[in-house]
Order: sequence, then structure tokens, then C-alpha cells
Amino acid sequence: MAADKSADGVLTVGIDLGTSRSAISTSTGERIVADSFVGWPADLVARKVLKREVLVGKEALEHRTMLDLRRPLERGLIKEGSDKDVQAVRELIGHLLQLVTKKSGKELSSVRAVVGVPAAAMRTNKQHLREVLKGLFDKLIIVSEPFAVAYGLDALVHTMVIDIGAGTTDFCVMKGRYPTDEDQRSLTIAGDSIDAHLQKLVREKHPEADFTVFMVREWKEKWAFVGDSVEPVVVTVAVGGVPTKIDITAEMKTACEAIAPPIVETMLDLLAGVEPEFQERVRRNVILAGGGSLIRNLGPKIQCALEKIGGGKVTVEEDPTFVGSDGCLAIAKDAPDADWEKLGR
Amino acid sequence: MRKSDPLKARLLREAVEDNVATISGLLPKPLRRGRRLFALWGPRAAALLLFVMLVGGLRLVPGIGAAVAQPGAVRQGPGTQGAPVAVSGDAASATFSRPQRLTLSALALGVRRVVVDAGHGGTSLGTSGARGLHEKDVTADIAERLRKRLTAEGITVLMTRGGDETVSLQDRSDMANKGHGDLFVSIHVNALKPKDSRGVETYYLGASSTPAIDALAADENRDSGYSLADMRTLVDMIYMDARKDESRRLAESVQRALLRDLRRVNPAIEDRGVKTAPFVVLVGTRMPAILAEVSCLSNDDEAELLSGSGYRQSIADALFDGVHAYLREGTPSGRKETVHGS
Repeated sequence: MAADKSADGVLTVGIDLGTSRSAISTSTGERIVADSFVGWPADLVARKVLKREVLVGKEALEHRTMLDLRRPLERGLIKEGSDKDVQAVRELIGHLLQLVTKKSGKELSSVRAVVGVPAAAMRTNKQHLREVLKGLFDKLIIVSEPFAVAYGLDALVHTMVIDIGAGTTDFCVMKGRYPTDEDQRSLTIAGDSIDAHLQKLVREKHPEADFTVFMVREWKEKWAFVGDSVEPVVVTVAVGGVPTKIDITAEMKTACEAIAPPIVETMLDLLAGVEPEFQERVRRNVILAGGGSLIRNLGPKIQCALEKIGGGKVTVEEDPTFVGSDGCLAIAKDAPDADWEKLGR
Repeated sequence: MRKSDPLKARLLREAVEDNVATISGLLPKPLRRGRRLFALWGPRAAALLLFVMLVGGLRLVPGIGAAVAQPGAVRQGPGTQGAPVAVSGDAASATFSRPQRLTLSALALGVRRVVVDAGHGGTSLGTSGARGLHEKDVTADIAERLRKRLTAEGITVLMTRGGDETVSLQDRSDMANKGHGDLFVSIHVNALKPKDSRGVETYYLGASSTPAIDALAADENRDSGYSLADMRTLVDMIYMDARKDESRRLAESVQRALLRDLRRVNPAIEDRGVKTAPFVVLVGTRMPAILAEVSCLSNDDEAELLSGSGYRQSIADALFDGVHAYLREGTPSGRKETVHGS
């Protein structure tokens, strides 16, 4: 491993810029995650109450009624067409950097970063991101998120990473080379689509219930499952202003299970593109990462689908929150100075 | 990294090379390796092409292929001298041509042919206003007015429908592709809830971002014959396509023009933004393509305006201005554009 450069004032960071949450891991050992929300006080009154120019993450969510709230990333990429969203991304990353530098308590002379983006991000998307992040880092490398995960886990040959985020589900088959378009896929079926589906199902069954998509997201994060439920999913909503408990077990199951078929379909499709002699090895090395991997029984369900083509093994990554940023950090730390120098400022 | 780990060292080098190429504005690696790839795949591709042509030829013969084409059924905009566009007859069995990956250099070619698509028609009424005005009639009228403006500027126009006829969504995109259209402009009129909602919005291809857009796309894609799985695959393919950037730029230009021009006659008009959605006509077309919802028939004020020819002419003029501005701005260069927020 390369020497830790924090001592000479150079901070090395890995960032998983996520649609729902963004995580940062640093060479000084800090790891921080924040909700990818940024808000500006909506008016003078809000500014006076909040006494802040901008709020980021959980704070922004908590005070959302007083804010012009932005979720600047869409499907893992910066939303196109809005200066405010561009500004929000800068605020979000600036906030993460501020938190880690504050925690490390060191003066920094420069920051080197590796940022993960969805597998299907186009070169123009990466150029746009590079433009947007200009000035925040001294050097920047942008890599495919599932590649970063694979790199961090040392799973570089004959493995498949399925990274289920909020905006995208990214697939990458590692063949011992930097992944090309043929090795990767992105689906827009991911955590957000579960939220939207669940919200619709609950709304249909309980038209009188009052709840928001933020509540739906919390329910999903707490109780998401496929297959058999271990406990009934009972949540509290407002009905005519009165807190009321409703059972959403069936709706949760339906919404979560809806993402399995496209994930399985894409996985099998990518597997079919692997050289026949290596297919079995890849099947036995499927890694499930990202927040979506926390859906109970999803790993076994995907593994079941592999039975039909000779069997395989799906491993659910234990630390989905930081697996992406840790992978990016591993790349950042391993990259030799000469490579960083090639990137200019 | 262990010094003895040459695999990681190579991967890092490749990752950095990819970044350097991005900074330099180079095309992705597979596209730059044209020669080597051609040497490897050229003969196989030629054989595949021959096979596709043979199968395609068979499919044009009624009774043999699934798609029953009508030889000689040719449609082009009245008064235009554009290339004939074959119209297949059986909408449900029409062959859907998978979109091809485009390169920026291909997009830089001059625009000579604009496909104007009047939404709905025939048995597909589209949305209807309180006074019995149908979307299909409004879009046909605006399309014809736009055709006149474009032809006057020397641009060849291909119309996906000439009169009040039912044309499937697949046929519309097939026509555009077979007619070698350079741009595709689909004209629609919106229906929104609540009823006081109004304004203009312009779409280009991408996944939808809200349930409301999902519903709109489902509405516009009705009877397309494609399953959700088909749409997912196709959208994923297109989403990586260089055409997306150009479609976005065209959408931004048209949205700007619609707002600017229509505000003069409809001061309360709202900017509903440039958005993405998986409309079938946008998936199937191989050129930069947009779908403009030019006003709201569900809004009483805008329905009133749409019933007058003056407002419809203003819309046609605005669409023309948008296309014209897009063409004037020139070829793609990866520059940043300002757009209307959605």
C-alpha cells in the first residue's frame, strides 16, 4: 500500500457520490456518510430561523419545509440543466470534505480524490462531473463505481459486482482489465424505484393515509425484504391528522420483489457474455453491494436464479455504506504520483 | 498496493488513461479501436449484415415475414421533395429496429431533413378539451404549419402522417429512420391535473424521473406493443448513446423558444422544463429526437387559445425558432448549455 500522505498535508479521499447518500473515506481513517440532499433557506424568515446559508444531509432533510431542497443527483449523475443542482453537488462534497478535515484536525495543502460514478456513465457525464468539481480537489480520478467496489475487495478477476444503489443498479464483470462498456451495465431499477412502487401500492390500498416519500424510504430501509417476511411490517401514518398504524407487509414484498427479475435478467445476460471456460468461476463470485443489498433474502433469491444455470454463490457485502468509498480510496492510495501528475490540475 | 501486484498496477494505469482520455475529450476506447476491431469483427459483421438484409428482404414480402409492408405506400410532406418513406401496414407486427450507437462525428453532419410527427391521429384521439377539441387535430394543424415554415427555409420535411389517420408509434419511428431524418420533432398537447396546471414541456429520451412522467409516457406509449422489459433494454441502450446529448440540446432550444414566443400571446404560460421520458417514438428513432408538449388542453384558458389558429401558428413558429436556433448553434462539442430546470 502506498504511504499515507496526510502527514505532508496531502489528503487522499475516496468518494461514493450516491443518489441517496454520499460517503467519503480518507487516508486519515475518517469515514463519513451524508444524505445527498442540499437545501437553501426558502425565504428571509427561514434564513433568520435557521441562521445558515445552506444545509446539507440529514439537517437539510429535517428542515425541508423551510428550504429550497435539492437532491442533485439523479441515477448517480448530476441532474442536467440546473445550476442550482450543480451548486448543490459542490456544497455536498464541500460539506463532506469539511467534516473530514475538521475531524482529522490537520492543515491540508492539497486533496487528491477518486470519485465513483455509475457503470453506464458516458464520457460526457464524466466531463461534466469533472467541470462541476473543479476547484474542490487538486487531482481527480473518476472511476466506475462497481469497479471501485471490486478493487477495494480485491475481486479483480472472474467476479461480478452488483451494486444496488438508490438511482442505479450497476453491474460489472471483472476480467482482470479496466472494465469496458461490454463488461458493465446500469439499470435504473434500484432503491428509488422501490420507493416509488411502494408509495403507489400503499396509496392505492390506503387512500386516506397521509405520508411522504421520505417516510416510505425510511420504511424500506428498515423492513425491505423479498420472499417470506420474518415479521409483519406495520407503520404509522396520519389519517385525518390522527396517527394510525397500517400493515404494509404485502406491499413491501411486492415492491421489493419487483426489482429482482430485471437484476437476475441482467446478471444472466452479462454472464452469457463471459468466456465459457470462466463462467462457472464468475457465477461462484457474485458480490452484492450497495444499500439495496440490505434487502433481506435478496442475495439468496439471486443465488437461486443461478441454480438454473449450474449454480453459483452470491456474497452480500458486509459494509455496503462504505464499500464504494473504501474502494475509491484504495485506488487513490495505490495510484502512483506519476499517474496523478498525468491528470493535470 | 503490493509492489508485486502487477494486475492492480495495470488496472490503475488503465483507469488513469481513461481519465486522461476523458479530459482530452476522446471517444470511449471501443470506438477508438476501430481498426483492430474491424480486422477482428469485420468479416463477421459483414456476414451478419448479409443475414439481416436477407431476413429483412423476406419480411417485406407479404405472407412471409412478420411485418407486412405495403410496397409503394409512400408518404412525404405535401410539397416536399424528400426521399420516399415506406410505410408498413400492420402496426402490431411492425419490426422494431434497435437503435444504433452513434458517434459524435456522425452527429456533426449537416441537418437536411426534419421529421415532423403530429401526435395521435385517426382512432387515437389523444387528449380532449372541454369544448370537444381533440389533441390529434391540434397537433396535425401545428405540424402542417411547422412544415410550411421549415420548407420555406429549404429544409426537407418528412411528415409521419399527412391527414387524420392512425399510424402506430413504431411506424412513426420506422418512417423517420427509413427516410434518413436528421432530426425528429414530435408534437403533442398535454393533459394535466389539477386542471389549472398549464405550460410547455419538452422531452428527450431517458428514464422518467417521476410517477407523473411515468403515467404520461404510459399514456403516450399505449398500444405500442412493447413490454416493459423491451423498453428497459432499449432505453438502457439509448441512454449510453451520443445522440442523447444532441437530443437534449434540441429539447433545450425548443423549450426556450416555446416559452419566449408563447409568452407574448399567453403571458401566464409556465415553464414545465426539459425532461426525460421513455416515449416509444423517441426510443425507436435513430436521430436526435424530442417530444414537445406544446400547451395544455386540460386547462380551460389554453384550450381556448388552442382553438384559435393564431395561437397554433405561434406554436409552429416557436417550434421552428427552436429548431432553427439549434441548427444555428452548430455541431456538438461537449459544451455546457443552460437549460430550463425540470
